Amino acid sequence: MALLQISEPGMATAPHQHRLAVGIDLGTTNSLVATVRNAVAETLPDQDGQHLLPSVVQYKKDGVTVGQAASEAAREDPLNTLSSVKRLIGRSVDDLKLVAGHLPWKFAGTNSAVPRIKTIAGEVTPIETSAEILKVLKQRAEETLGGELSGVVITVPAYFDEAQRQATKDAATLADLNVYRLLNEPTAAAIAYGLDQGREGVIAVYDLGGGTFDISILRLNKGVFEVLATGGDSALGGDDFDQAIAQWILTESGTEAAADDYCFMRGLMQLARDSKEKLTESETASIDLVLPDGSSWQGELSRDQFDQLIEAFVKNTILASRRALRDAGVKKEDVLEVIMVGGSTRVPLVREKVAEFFGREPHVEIDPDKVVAIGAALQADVLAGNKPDDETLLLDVIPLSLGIETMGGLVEKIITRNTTIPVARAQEFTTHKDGQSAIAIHVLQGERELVDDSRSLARFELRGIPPMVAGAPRIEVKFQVDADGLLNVSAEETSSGVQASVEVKPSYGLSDEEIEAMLRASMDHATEDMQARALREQEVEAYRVIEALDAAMEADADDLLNEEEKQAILTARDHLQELVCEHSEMNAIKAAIKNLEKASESYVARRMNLSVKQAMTGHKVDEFEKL
Amino acid sequence: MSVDLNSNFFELFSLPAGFEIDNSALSESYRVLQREFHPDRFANADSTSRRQAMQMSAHINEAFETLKNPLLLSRYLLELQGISMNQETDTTSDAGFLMQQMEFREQMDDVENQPDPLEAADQLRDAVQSENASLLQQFRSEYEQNNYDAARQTWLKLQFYDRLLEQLSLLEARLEDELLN
Repeated sequence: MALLQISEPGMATAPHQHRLAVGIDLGTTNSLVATVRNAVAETLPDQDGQHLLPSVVQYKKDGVTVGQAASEAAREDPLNTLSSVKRLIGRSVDDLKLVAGHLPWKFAGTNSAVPRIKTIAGEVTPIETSAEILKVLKQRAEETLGGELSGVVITVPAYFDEAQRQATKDAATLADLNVYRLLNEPTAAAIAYGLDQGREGVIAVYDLGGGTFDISILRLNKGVFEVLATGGDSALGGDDFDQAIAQWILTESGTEAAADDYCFMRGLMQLARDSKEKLTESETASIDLVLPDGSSWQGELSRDQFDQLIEAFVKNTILASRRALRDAGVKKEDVLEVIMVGGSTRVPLVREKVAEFFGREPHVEIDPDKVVAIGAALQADVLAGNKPDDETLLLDVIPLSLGIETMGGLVEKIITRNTTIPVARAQEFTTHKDGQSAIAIHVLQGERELVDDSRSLARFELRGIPPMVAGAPRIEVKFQVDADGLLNVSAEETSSGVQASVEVKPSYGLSDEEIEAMLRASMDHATEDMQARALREQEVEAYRVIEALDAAMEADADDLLNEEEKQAILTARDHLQELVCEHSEMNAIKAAIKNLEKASESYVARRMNLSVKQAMTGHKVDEFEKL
Repeated sequence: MSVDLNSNFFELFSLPAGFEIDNSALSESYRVLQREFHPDRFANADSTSRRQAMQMSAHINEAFETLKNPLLLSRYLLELQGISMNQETDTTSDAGFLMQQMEFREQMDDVENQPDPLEAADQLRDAVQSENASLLQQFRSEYEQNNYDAARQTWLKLQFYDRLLEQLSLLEARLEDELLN
């Protein structure tokens, strides 16, 4: 029921209420949560004052540890301590084999499309691990803000495909979070700098984190953020700078032989990190190294020397930036703004080279570790309805084309990349044999022409096609991509009106059943609690529906409905209210909501048409001809 | 249920139906409508309203895409006159035109062998685009003279140029990659 509330000037449908909403930067190395308080967006610290939560989860026999403590346990308990799972999320078992050499964990042989890692607490998926991180951030936010969160905005890399986005959203579902929107990380950074309000043009977002480098070229045009190109290096970051310094110290101090000593190396890496940070402000860093034998070594690293150590890494990021610009089809001179994201952009040489390459000073005013979370918080605040006068609208595009497999292993594109979302496309299919009752469809993502070069997203079967001669059935399959970039498929046989059933088997993500099972498993509560929760959710939904309907009917029921229609809707409405008041069984309420939806279907359509006209003219409803 | 919109794309954007589109008026109407119906505006609404908003927003996007793109626009104009086309099976039978298409394709295949392939690709693109533009002009005058059968034939030809330009883009991307590596 689209009781799309037609808000007339000066006639708010409900009194304004402030909703708690946060933005979450679910990062490869660290994660953050931020919110808007007193009109200021800020990240929220934990009880120890730490804003950054290391994205590390340690599984134990009797629970999980997330964050710094887990990070410190990584050495002693590598098999049960999972880090950088963002690299695995939304990936298939086959994908992992390509990177498995670097992964210390044991993977379970499984029928599921999602890889499962064996831990002491049982098999876990990257989705569940991400959910553990989200749960900690949720709890931090709710304790700090003193209430339940209405919704969150979670950021994802611009290059994330449908499967990776879906997996991220699934993780949020497991963490019991209501996702307002998945937002591209570079877009979030641009919002943090208020660029969505300002000039139109090309924006470059240079994101150098601990272990990854991403460059994104965006075009902002009247509130539409188009991702023109992305690039980078998934194995390049500040950790490489630390390594380079540590290697330098080993060579200079003549202690290469101690490189196998774990405790020594751990101290050395910390020393390297400290020196790097020191060199952000100072021209030199003095180094005081205690050797394994107890003796000590003193040295000094100058900024010039440090610059030489990391020059090659920085150069690679510039090369990747150049390539991204070319992919985007824009020149350096076209770039209006450059934004720095990620802790490693504090390094002076990085800033210098970026400024030199783009021919302009990059934005560094906002803490580069926090800028993405802050942008997400600002967007969450708008979506929560806390800024009712905010007229800005953020339109995203689909980053990769969606297509289906056709004869000969070729991909036919259904929705091409950079199409503004949400988008729906219908495609007609037919049968090849007489009496054929099912058709298999394979959905792929990517720009390549061959199925083998594309990412498989899902396979599904259309069943229940009425028996006809070959080529006679006309099956319309609708591909719908929502504002988060997530795909939904439905199908109908149009000549007979038979709704063909669609069974989607995700190639990477979890099926609805799997999510449900995980939700059950992750609940500490008894089953009754869960049912009570589900019932409460249905009741809340029912109230929302009734409230929206009442507001709508009060506004224009007399204009849009005849007496008979009105009665039919009211009967369904009253029935629903009765059930809710009696705390009836969940499924009964669900059915009553559906029933009311059906009863008010055409009313909703009429209102929708009216509101289109109204939006276009700015006139009031009653100025239009009565229907 | 799907969103029922009686208005056609032109009515949706409050624009006069026709080949000539006032692009700034189109963009402005588009933004007004999306501000009203984009799912972000319903982030806190009940799930059915959210779904409806998504359908409506997708519908607005489709209408916008159609009116912005000359090939889609010209097909839509024909559809409004009750003339539909099956892209899979309908094709032109104009032998002269098909011959010209084959020549274009041969030129495309030959681009790689030119001394400066990227320059050759640019030249070919210019030639194709100029043919495409004059064909669009032809479509327009046929359409405006209510000569829909002729317009339909012209549209079937326009399709060829669309594919040709798409393949040229792919070729250019490949040539650029090869030059860089």
